[in-house]
Amino acid sequence: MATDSQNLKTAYRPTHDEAARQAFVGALKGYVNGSMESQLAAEYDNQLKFDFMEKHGQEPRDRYQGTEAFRHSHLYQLWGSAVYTSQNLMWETVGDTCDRLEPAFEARQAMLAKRPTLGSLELQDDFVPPDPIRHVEIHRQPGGYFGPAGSTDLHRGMHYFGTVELYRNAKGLGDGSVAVGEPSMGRYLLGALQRRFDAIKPRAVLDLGCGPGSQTLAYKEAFPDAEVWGVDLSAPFLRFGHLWAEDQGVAIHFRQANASDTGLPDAKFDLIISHILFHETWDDILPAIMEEAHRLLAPGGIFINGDTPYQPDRLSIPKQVTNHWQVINNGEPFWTRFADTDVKEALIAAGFEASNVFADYDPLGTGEYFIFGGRKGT
Amino acid sequence: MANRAHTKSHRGRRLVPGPDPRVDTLLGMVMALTSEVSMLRERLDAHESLAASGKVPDQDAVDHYQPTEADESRRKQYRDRLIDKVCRPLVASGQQDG
Repeated sequence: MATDSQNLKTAYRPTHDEAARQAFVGALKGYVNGSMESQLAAEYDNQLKFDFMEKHGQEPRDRYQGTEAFRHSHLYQLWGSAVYTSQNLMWETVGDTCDRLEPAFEARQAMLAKRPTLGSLELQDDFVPPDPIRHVEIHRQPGGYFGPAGSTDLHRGMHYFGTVELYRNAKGLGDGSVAVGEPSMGRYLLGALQRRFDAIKPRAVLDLGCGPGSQTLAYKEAFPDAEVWGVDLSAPFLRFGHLWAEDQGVAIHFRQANASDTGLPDAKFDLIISHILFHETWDDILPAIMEEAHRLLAPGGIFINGDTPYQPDRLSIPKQVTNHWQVINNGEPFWTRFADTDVKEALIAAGFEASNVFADYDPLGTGEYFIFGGRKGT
Repeated sequence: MANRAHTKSHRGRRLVPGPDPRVDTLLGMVMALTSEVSMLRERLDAHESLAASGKVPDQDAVDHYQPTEADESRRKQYRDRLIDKVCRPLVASGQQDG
C-alpha cells in the first residue's frame, strides 16, 4: 500500500494481477489492430473491392465509399465488436488500478498542499469547456475529460495517464518498454526538434494541450532554466499534472484555458510544443489555435507539433475505413477531419512564412509520426 | 460553426457498435473471461517461478512478484496463443460469411 510520503512514480504500480490483465488488453488490441486488420485488407483486395466495382463501375475512392464496400462484411462487423470490446476492457482494467491507488494519490496531494509549490495551478471555477468537445468522451474514456466545477477529482487524470502507453503501443506507435509516467513522447518531440533546428535555449516553453502533464516534464528536463507552462481545457487533467510535477520536484505552471485563447502575453515563448492536440480538436478551431501560437511566440520562436500520421493519401482504403470506424464508434470524432487538413496552409494563414513551415514524418515504433510546425520570422 | 452534424452524432455513449447488440454483448463476455484466464495463467506462472527458486509461493509473494525478462517473453507467448485460439473461430466465421 502506498503511503502519503511515497513518490507517486513509485506508487503507480499495478499489482501482479492488474498488470496481467493490462498486458492481455494490450495483446488483444495488438491482435485486432494487426492480425485482424490484415485479414480485412486481404478480404478487400480479394473480394470486396471487386463486389463494389461490379455495382458502381469503379473502385472505392475514399473512406465513405470504402465503408460502403465493407458494410456487409461479417469480418468487418466482428472486427468492430472486438475493437470496441478491447477498449472497454482497457478502461476497466486500468480503472481498477486507479480506484485502488486514488486514496494514496489524494493523501500525497494533501501532504504536498502544505508545502510551498514550485510551479502553479490556475483553474477557473466558472470555466465551461467549449462545444462540442465537452460532450465528447474522447477515446470513450468513461466520463470524458471534464468534471464538475470545484471538484478535486484526480481520477480522470489518473485514468487517462494509466492508459496512454498501452494504447500507443497497441497502435504500433511506441516501443513497448516505456513505463507509465515516463515522458517518452515529450522526449521524442524534443528529438524531432533537434532533427530540424540547431540547438536552442528557450527562456519559456509552452506545452499546448498538455493533458495530464506527464509529457510536459520532458521540457523542463531538457531546458531546466526555462519557465515551462502547460495549458489545457481539462481541470481534472491539470490538477493531476500539477500533483505529478510537484511530487517530482519539477516547477511547471499549469493553466486552464482554450488553446485558441490562452490569455498569456504576446511573444512570451521561444518554444511551443503540442502532442496529439490537433486530432483531439475539431478542425474549425485549428486556425485560431495556430494564430494563438504565432501570437505567443517571440521572434524566431519555434512551434512544433506531433500527431497521428493518418493522412488519407498515405493510407490504403481498408486502413481509411478502419480509421473512419474509430471516428464513428470509438471516441475519435475529430481524427479524420484533422487528417484531411492541409496544416502547412493553415500555418501560413496563421502568420508563419511559407519558407519557415514544415510538415513531414519521423519514425516512431513500427510506424511514423506526423511532425509539423513553423518558425516565427525575426 | 463547431456544432456540425458529424460531431453532434458522437454525443453521449454508444452502447454497442455493431448491427447486432447480442454479438457485442457476447463478445464482451468472452473477452472478459479470456482476460481472467490469461491473468490466472500468469499467476500460475508466478507460482512456478517462485517455487523453482525455492521460495514459498504464498499470496503476498505472488502479488508482489516482478516478472523477469524471460518470464515476460514466456507470458507473451501464452497470451498471443490464447488470443489466437479464442479469436480463430471469430475470424474463420467472418471469412466464411463475409
